[in-house]
Formats: sequence, structure tokens, C-alpha cells
Amino acid sequence: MTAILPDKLKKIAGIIPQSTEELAVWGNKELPEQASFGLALGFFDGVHKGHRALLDRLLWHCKEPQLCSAVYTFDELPKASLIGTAGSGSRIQNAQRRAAYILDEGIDFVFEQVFTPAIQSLEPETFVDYLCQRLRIKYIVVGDDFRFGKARKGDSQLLKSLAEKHGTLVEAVAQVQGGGQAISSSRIRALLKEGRIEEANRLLGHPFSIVGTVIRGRGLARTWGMPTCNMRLDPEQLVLPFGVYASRTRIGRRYYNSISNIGLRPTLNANEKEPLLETYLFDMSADLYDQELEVFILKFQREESHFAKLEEMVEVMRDDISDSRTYLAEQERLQPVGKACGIPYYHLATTRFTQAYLHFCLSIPADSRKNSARSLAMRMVLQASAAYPGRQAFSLAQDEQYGASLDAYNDNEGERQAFEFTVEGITRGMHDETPFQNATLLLFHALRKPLLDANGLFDESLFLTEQNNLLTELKSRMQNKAKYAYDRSFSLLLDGLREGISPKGDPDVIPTLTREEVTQAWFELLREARAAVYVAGNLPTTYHDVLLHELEAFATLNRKVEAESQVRLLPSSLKLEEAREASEYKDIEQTRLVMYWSGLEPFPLIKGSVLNVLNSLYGADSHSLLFEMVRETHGLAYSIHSQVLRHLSMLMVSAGINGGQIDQAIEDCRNQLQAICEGKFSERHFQSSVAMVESKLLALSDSLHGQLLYQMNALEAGHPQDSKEALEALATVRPEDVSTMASGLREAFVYKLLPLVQPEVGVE
Amino acid sequence: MSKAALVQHDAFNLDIKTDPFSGLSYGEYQHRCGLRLLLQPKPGFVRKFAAFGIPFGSIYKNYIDEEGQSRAIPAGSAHYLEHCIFSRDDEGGLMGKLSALGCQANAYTSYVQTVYYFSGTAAFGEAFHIYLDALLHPYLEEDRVIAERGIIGAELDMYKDDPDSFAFHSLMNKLYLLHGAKDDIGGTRESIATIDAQTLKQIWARFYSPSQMQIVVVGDFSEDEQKTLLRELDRVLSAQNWAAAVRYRHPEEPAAVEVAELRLELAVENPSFILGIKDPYPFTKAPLDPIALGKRTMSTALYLDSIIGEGSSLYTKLYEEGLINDSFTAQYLCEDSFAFFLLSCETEQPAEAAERILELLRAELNSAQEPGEIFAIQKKASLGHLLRAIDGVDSLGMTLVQAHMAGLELAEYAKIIDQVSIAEAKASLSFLQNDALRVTVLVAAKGETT
Repeated sequence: MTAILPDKLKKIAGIIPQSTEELAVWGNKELPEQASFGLALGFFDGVHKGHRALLDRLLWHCKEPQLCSAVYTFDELPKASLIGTAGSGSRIQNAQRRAAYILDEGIDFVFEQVFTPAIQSLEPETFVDYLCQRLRIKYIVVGDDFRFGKARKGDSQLLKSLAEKHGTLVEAVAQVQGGGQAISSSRIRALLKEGRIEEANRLLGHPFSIVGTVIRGRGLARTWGMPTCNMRLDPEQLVLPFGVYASRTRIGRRYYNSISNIGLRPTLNANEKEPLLETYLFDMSADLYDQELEVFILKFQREESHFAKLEEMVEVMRDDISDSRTYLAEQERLQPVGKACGIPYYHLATTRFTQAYLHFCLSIPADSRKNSARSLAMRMVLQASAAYPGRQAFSLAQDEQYGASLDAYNDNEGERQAFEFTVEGITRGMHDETPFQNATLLLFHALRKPLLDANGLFDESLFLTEQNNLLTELKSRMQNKAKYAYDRSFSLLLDGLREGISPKGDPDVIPTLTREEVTQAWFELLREARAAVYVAGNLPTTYHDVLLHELEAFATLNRKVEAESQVRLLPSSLKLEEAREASEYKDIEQTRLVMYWSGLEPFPLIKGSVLNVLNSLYGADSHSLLFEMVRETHGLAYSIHSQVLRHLSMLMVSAGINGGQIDQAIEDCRNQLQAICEGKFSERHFQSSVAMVESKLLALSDSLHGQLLYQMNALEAGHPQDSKEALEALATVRPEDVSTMASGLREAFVYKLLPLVQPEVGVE
Repeated sequence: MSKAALVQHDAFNLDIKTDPFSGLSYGEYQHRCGLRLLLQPKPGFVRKFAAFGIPFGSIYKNYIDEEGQSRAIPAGSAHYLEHCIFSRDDEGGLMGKLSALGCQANAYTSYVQTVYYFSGTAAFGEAFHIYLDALLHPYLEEDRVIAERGIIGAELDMYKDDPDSFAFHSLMNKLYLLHGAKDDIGGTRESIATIDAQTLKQIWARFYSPSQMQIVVVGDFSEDEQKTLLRELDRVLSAQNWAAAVRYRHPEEPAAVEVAELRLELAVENPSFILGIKDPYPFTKAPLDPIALGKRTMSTALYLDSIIGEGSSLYTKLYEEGLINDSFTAQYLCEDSFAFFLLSCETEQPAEAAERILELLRAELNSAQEPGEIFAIQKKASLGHLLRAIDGVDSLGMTLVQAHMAGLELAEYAKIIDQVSIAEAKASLSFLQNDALRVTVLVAAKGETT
């Protein structure tokens, strides 16, 4: 479910010069003069997962040459696409919601062309000329089923050849699969009309929603203790089957669990002609008349019925509410709860676990000096705070909450430095205490109100101690030879690039940092970073209220709501030159090897299942080719594994090599990858890889933290999915898909960390 | 979600137990051959977990063979045997077979035990019997044993590259004179060179008998699944006669250490120290009653957390003085046959830091002022940690197997936490005053070229 809000949407009319037809422009900013564009063409009804793959491609392509990204679409669905649907009133979203969802993906503008008879009658050639004369277009992306021009004569091939004449690059993206078939708006519309809401929502990647204003009803439901909000249905939008649905409702920036009825309410009014959406919000009571609500429909519960007696209807309604509550409480899917100061808050509801987890994620462009300053600040804020000025008091405050733990990590996220502050603890104490909630408060107070002196700078004693300790920690990390080899190879691979700046801090910079700049860097992070909160656990509404209140308090730090918080995280567009090698010598016993391959598709989640199988087959699991061949059969390594570096679109192999056999091991690693490219792997290896990926996905549901991380990463990458969807995709993976993906890999870098004294080959 | 009741089987005695603290109920089955199986239902979870615990670790140094002769066990044998259980064949060996069923398997060898475990979502029964078969009928032939030697050698090299691990093993080597804890768990390149297929076969025959094995399974099992599991297990166990449990007597460890101080020069960035004090208590009392051992471990852990843990004023003082940092640890480990106290930290002045920290710690132990309030908070924190540890399938399984290998019931944990006192902990730690049982290892950086 997307967390977009209508107030960020501006409709700018008539900005494009020499416009003769009506063209509306939706965007969050003014159109720059002299801008060059990357465009995605299509109708984008529903902005489903297939559309998002197109938009990802557009964003990624526009990133490096600094193009403005835009979607060019029509105000009405071309008639030919409406065959089999009911004409007007059959869209998944109205135009405003569609534009909002597209902009929420990080696209700069939506150009909405009125689909006039003149436009409809344009020949494909004329249409392309028309487009390219109006806008400076450098790049166009379309779906591979794209049709355009009079009578839909043009296809993506023709578009390519026509656009090339204008110097425009055209890419056609394959349709994204979901549930074994291509995802399309018409398929989603059909599912929605059949009431198969959960399936439709999976394909959409967000729940179907209805937006409207609360109108006055007869207030009957209030008399039964179930006051409802009544809304008219959107005339542009398709109508779901009449019946009862589990739903969630957004009021302003806050989301609540709810139950909705769509229909004519035959028991109450036999003559009702106009269907209404009636929604009862759980755990929330306020006068909502004339307010705009967005109701997200999650699950069809039952058809609308006529009851002979009112009491009978009320009884059934109580059961409906109970079913809906249970469904929503056990859903185990990340849902937005609200947004404050540009920080969205998502919650994964569950009833199976006694503990809960919180991740507060922040990211900001990397900077060689500020990375060190922020890394040091991260240490300090979890040592003491204004409320608990001593280390002992701060530590005991956590222990007091049944040993709840606060922690912090930082890492690279492509060109950004990313932070995660976490809380872990049990939700309810033996005497009905709320340890997790209290620990959450402890964290947010510590972040916003760290231990400062009278001048507003980090406490001097704390600063000096942690400056020293951070240096010790970094040196300690160097003592771990595997980590050392990884860090060193990473920095050599990305030398001079923003992606290569260490997120942990630089031992040469840390001693030169001043309290002023560290304090400044910390508050700059809180003010400007892209931020989001993810929580999993069996938590009451009061917890959500408390957490949102904490997020609202970031306003006191003058947090910028619209800047970094809206940044869509994109994979790095790193372009590595030819393959390189580096060897270094150190006083070690075991040779270390790190190899990097570039060339994974920039959005691996779209083909995540293929990538997971490839990684399992190559080196992630104990049946893999690296483990079975390089380690077990050829005896060249003890530890060896492969992993995906998502933000860099790379695959990495890390290994501890047996004495003197480094060159054979490198060759063997290359050979195993080549075998995958050529499809020379056994059925057993392939099936084991699929079984392992499947088992890990199935097992995710048994780990609350695992589920949270999986769904959080998917959401951060812009492709929300749960393990069920990933399992569906996994079922379609074929050995040749894995070979094709492997064939796209190019060796980028080989790093050898060798002992000063070379052991003899084959020493035991 | 299955809410199946625990089923009975003629070959097993079933004892159903409930932990009032967590509310968990489980079945403890004992087969007539002696094997114990703990079945922990976890309704609503798709993952299933199994662990096979063998009470044989690296400290066992000899055994009595069929002729009544004492035979030496080379250092690293338990770990070597663990590696060989996973031996390869055309189907990828045990790992390959389990992977094909989507199961993730692993094992570890400690001083006192070897634990094999796996978890998966489908074909659990099949995977369970493949694993059990590998344990009861391992492929221990010379070709595989030789191939495994190189891999273990590389593993030992990896540990040598880890300064913490190297310093710890150096400490243990000086702290103990005769006891098996003196040797590295993995042994040395020299000791493993003496291990051949015959050695491993003999050791396996003595120590891997089901009569002393403990199995823990966790998951949402239907009654049919339980019946099949018990029936198949009985079939395998009843197919042959197994050796009786091994009686083992550890050598008598003198109340002395090899050297009081050891200086190491390693490829490190940070100097450090690790200090150990040998506790003579288990040598006089062994075998320890599991509850007494559990109380001893829990009371000392909570007490050490109270006086030198992160929430203590002593920790804060040392931290603010720059003597310690996040790398600091203070812990007491007590096993059935040996026990010791450890202090370690990466610090600029290791020798001075080690002396001062121990001096301040001893002063705390001697102080009449007791940290009652902090001790109570640490008890509360421990209850929270316990609840968190048993929340998921795998972590619950690992907690249970460790508890049962130590002879404890899950239900006893919360009770032990509730009952332990500062006085007990202080009494247990009185040996910390004894400098004759202490070894300090000081690690300094040596020059290196990069």
C-alpha cells in the first residue's frame, strides 16, 4: 500500500509551450525550461507491478544523464483496450490517483493528453513526430505489448525505428509475470469484478482503494454501536461486487483497520438505487463528516444479504467485524500506519509472537568526511541521552524493559550511507507492562535528545570516549581477515567513487573530527535523511499513536518533509571498466579471495526468484557448485560462498583458500560460473537450489524478524511483495532463465590477500 | 494450524510436561534403548526443526575399547568425526540429500558435545531419517577421511587468523595441565594427521550410540506425523543392539596452571588481554547435579552483569577511563567437569588494564554493599531474553537441545532465575581471589608488511 498523499499533487495546466490540444501536467515541481526527458508511454491504469517495472527502468535510465522523468498518457482509456469491460466507470483508479501513484514512484511529471479524435486519428509516424517536436525526448520506455497510433497500428519495433530518427533511444520491457501469467490492467480489473481482491492486490503491488468524502447518513449504525462513514463511489472507477470487505482506511496521514460494505443496503432501504461505501473504523471514533477518506479494500468477506430482521443483521455484522479484526491482526504483511514529518511508519501485524522488532531506517548521500562524523554520532546516541545522561543509567533503562535491546548499524546503500536503529523486546511484561513500547520511546528520545552540553554540542567526555572507541572498533574489524579482505577489496573496486566511501568511518578522518561538525552532521541526518519506520509485532493501537507522536516530534528539529524523504532508492548506475586484479600480502595463515561480477539487472527484485536460484546454485548454499566442487571435490577452499550486492547490481564470491592453491581456486570459481552460463549443471543441483529457495521463503513466515526484513527490503526497493508472491514467481523459474541471467555477468575484480610466507601447494 | 495431541507409542515412555512460565507443553519420550526424544509442538508454524545431541566433545581424551584397553583419542577427533558425518557421494552426501528436500543442516562441536541439526518446511520425516541414518551408519572410509583432513586444516588456519580465537586457545592451553579443555576443539594440523578411518570408526562406535543420544524436534506435527516419526525411529533403534552409554572419567586436574603469564605477538591492530582463572570446584564435585550447575551458571551470570556488566557503575567507570570498550567481556563458564572465569578486552595497555580490572572486581566481590536492585533488574532482563529465545522454531529448538544436553528442563529456567541469589554467586566466585589458578595472556601487535 503506498503512502502517497493528495496534498503533494499539483496540476499545472498549459505549461508546455505551443500546446494546441489540451494537455494536463501533474507534478511536484515546476517544469524546468530546456529540460530533456525520458518518457514512459502507456495508460497505466492501476499503476500495477508491470507498470512499476517500466517506471523503474525509466528512473534508472534518467538518473545518470540527468533527464527529467515523465509518463505520457491519455485521459481516457483508448476504446480498443476496453473491449470486455464496461466503458466509463471501469478504471482501477481515477486520473488523479493514477498521477499520484506514478509521482509517488519518484517520476517527475505526468503528461495527461486529452484523447481527442484528432489524436486518435494520428498515424504512428505522425504521433512520434508530434511527441518529439513538443518535448526534447532522449529516451522512451514501453511495455513489449505497446500499441499506438491510429487503429493501434504501431508497435514497439516501429516506435524504435521512428524514434531513432529523432535521436531517441527506445526500450521495450517484457511484461512482468504474476501467478504464472503476465500482469495487465485488464486482468486485474477482471479479478476485482469477481471479488478476488487479494489476488488483484498482489498483482497491483498495492491495495485497490476508493477515495471519497464522508456524507451524512441516517446514523442507524451508530445506534448499534458501530458508527459508519458513508461515501459515494467514484463514477470513474469500477464497482466491486456488492458485499462486505476487510479494509483499511486512511484519514489524512493516518491509517486504521476497518470493515466496509459496498452495496445498496437492502435490509435498511429496499428502494436504494445508488450503491454506497459504508465503513466502520476499528479503534477510532471522531466526527468525519465532509472529510476525505481513502478506503483500501483488502479481502472479500461475504456477499451483501437481505435480512428479515434487523437484529439478525446486527448479529451477522458483529461476526463480520470479528472476522475482519482477526484477518487484519493475523495478516503478517507490512501496512502503512501513518506518516509524520515525512517519515512513513509501516507495521506488520501478527498474533503468533511474543516479541516485537522495530527498524528505523535512514539514508543520506555518502560523503567522505560526514560519513565518519555520522558514524561517530551513531555510537554516541546509544550510549547516553539527555534523559539518561550516564552510560549506566541508559543501559539499565533497557534492562529494566525485560532486557529489550537498542542497537544501531550502518552500511552502504549504493551512493548513500544508510543507518538502521533497532529495538527488540517482548511486547508485554509479566505484570502487563509494555516493555517494547517503553524501549521504543527510549530510542526516539535518545535520537532526538542526545546528551548535549550547554552549548548544544555533544557532551565532551562522551565525544572523546566514543571517538577513541570507534577507532578501536574499526581496527578490530581489520583484525577479522574475512572482513578485512571484503572491506579492502570493496574500497579498491570502488576507489574514488561515492559508492566506495566507507560507511563505518575513516580511521584517518575520525581523529580530526570536531564536536561541532559531529553535532551538526547528526542533526543534519535527522533533518534531511530519507527515513522510514518498520515495526513487526502484536501491538495495540496505542503503540501506533505513541510512535507517530514521536515521529511528529521531529518537527522540533525542523525536519525537511519533502526533500530526501521522497527520494526513491535506485540501484547504483555504476559503470565499471574492464576486469581488474589486485594482490596484497599480510601476515596471515589462510589466503583470502574476493571476486566480483557486475551486470546483474538493476532491479533484481523483478526477477528476484531467478537471482535467488542462481545464487543458491552458484555459492549461497551447501549443495552449490562452489561448495560441492571447489570445496568438497577439489579441496581448494574451506569457507566459500556467493552473495548478491543488491545496490551495486553485483555478485560477489568470498573464500578462504587452502594453502598455495589460489590460482586454481580462481579458475575453478570462473569455471563453475561458466558451467551455469552454458547450462552444464545437473537437474539435482537445479532442483536443490529451487527447493532451498522455496524452503527459505516458506520458513520466513516462522521468523518475525525474517519476515519484517524481507518485506521491508522489498518495500524499500519499490517492489512490495510477501513470501507467497515470491513463491509463485519461483515456481516459474527454468534452468535456462538462470543461465541467461548468469550470462549477463562480467568479471569486474579479483582480490587476493596472500600470506607473507607462501605455504606449499596441497599442504595438509 | 494443527492442535494435535502428543501420541503414545509402545516402545517409548511418554512424559508430558508444561512450563508454567512460557505456557509451552511438550512430550519427553524415552526409548527402551535409552534414547531420549523431546517433541515440542509449535502450532501455526510451517518450519520444523530437529537436533541430535551427542554427549561427546573435544575434552574426551581416551576411552576403553572392547578388550578393556585404554585408547587415546587424538585432539580434534570429535570435530573430525562431525565433518565426516557430512561425507560426500554422488548425490552430494548428507548435505546434498537434505538440500534436495529444501532442508538447511549444520552441526557444531564444543568441548563437551556435538550437536547436529536441521530445519525445513517439507519432507521433514524423510530428512529426519536421512540425517539419523548418516549418524548411525556413517561413511568412515580412508578416502573420505583423507579428503576431509585438508578442509579441516584450512579451518584451523582460519582460526589461527582470528586473534581472539588464537588467544583464547593459548589461554586454555596454559590454564589446564591435564584436562581435555587444554586442547583446541579442532585439534592441530599435527594431531589431525594421526586420525585415520580406524580411529574414527572406533570412536563413533563408543560415543555415537543412540543409548546416550538426545533428540529434540520442534514444529506443528499432526498426530499421523508423530506416529510415523515414532514408528520409524523405533524401527531403526530396534534393528540392532547398541553399545551402552560410555562411562568416562576425566583426568584429575592439579590446582595449578602452566604459566601465570603468556605474551603473544600477533598480526593485530589493537593490543588486548585475556585473563582466565580456573575454578577447582567441578574437580571436587563432579559430576555436578544439573540443577546445581544451572543455578551456579545463572547466579554468577546475573551477578557479574550486576557488578561489571554494562549496567554497573564499575563498567561505566572503566569505560569512561578508557580502559575498556565494547570488546570487554567478563564471564564464568561451568561445565560438568571443568569451569573457569574469563576477562578479556582490546585495550591500549593490556597488562595494566587486566590488573586494575581484576583488582576492582575483587574489591566488588569483597564489598559488603550488594547490588540488590541491579540484580533484580538483571533477573527481569533474563526472563525477557528467555521469552525471546523460545519465540521462533529454530531458536526454541536450539534452546531446548542445549537445556536437555545439560540435563535441564525448559520449565526449570524461569524457576532458576527466580531462585538464585547474590550470596550463591559470591560463594561460587570465591575462587577469583586465587592467583595461583590464574593465567593472563597479553597480545601485542607485531610488525607487518602490507
